[in-house]
Amino acid sequence: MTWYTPKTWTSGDLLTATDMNRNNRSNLYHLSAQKPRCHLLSQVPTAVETEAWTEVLFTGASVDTGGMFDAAADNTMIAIKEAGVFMVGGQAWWQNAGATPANTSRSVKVQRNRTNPIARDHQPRLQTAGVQQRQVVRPMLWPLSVNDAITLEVWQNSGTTLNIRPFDFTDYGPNLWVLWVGEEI
Amino acid sequence: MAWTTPKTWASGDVLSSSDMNLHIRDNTRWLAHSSTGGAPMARLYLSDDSDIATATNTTIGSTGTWAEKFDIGGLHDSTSQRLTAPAGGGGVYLFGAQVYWEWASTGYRQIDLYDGTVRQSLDRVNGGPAIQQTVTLARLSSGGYMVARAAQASGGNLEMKGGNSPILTTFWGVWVGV
Repeated sequence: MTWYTPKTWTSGDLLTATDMNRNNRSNLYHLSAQKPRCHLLSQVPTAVETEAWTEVLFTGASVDTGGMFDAAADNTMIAIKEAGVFMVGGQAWWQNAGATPANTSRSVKVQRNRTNPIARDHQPRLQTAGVQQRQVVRPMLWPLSVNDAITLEVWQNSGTTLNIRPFDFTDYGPNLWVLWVGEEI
Repeated sequence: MAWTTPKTWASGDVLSSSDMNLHIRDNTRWLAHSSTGGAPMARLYLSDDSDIATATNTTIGSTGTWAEKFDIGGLHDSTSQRLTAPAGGGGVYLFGAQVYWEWASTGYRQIDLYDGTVRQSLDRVNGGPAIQQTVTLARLSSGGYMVARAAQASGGNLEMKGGNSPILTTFWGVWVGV
């Protein structure tokens, strides 16, 4: 539901249904049940070639207000429908790299419009041979605009293609999320 | 401006413009972190690259300077390099900090969020991570504060990367509840 800049009342103002619907109902909805938010999950692997930034593929949303995720149109992105300051975050779960060199790097970042990183985690020695690794981009505050595309990109340099493991209902998988926390600045 | 406990209405109460402004407009602005009258929310970034000496727990901003991406409600105290709950702004806050380190392969890297008495959260890793982050919830009274601190044991000075990019060294806080 649309956010309306709260009205300043003056003595003698008539209190109308429109006033109450905008300044009370709509804004309360916006701050509670319909606060813009989206949390994506994936049930398919994403193949990541060595030394190539790759967008993670998502298959569904556990939370989505206002249709921010449309898998048929683009299964890699959250589309921002309302401007404001958002909290953003993400996570990736790397495939076991097997016999590939230990101590190679893994990186994950949240991108705005596919060019501007909002949040990033980079671990030069994340990978130990034979071990799956999860990587978390912890929450960040950042102003976003209408129609911004938010994606999760991953990178590795094991020397071979690695998968980002999917969510399998028994353990964690990749996720990407946004939460509106305040008005546009 | 501050959060006002919502009024309980009684039969026969006259609804005034003051009521509407205080209980509808101002509290809505507060919850939406509006630039006018919104609950405190700030995001800072280290303005320039800054060295930290080895084995010295250092308040970020005492070396280098925090600059504001935004500061709603005067949360950032630029004199003390803290995020300080302003008058009327006590409550529960979510805080986060991140350091982007110069690469070095030896020793630990550590960042924490500290309220002057208790270390509220800590991330410590051996072997030269590039980016470290930590996040916590904490209750602050008006005037209460949080600082971001960093330490490293590379054996010499080590640089924290600064600049107005969200992936470099940052510190943020946001009021989330009374």
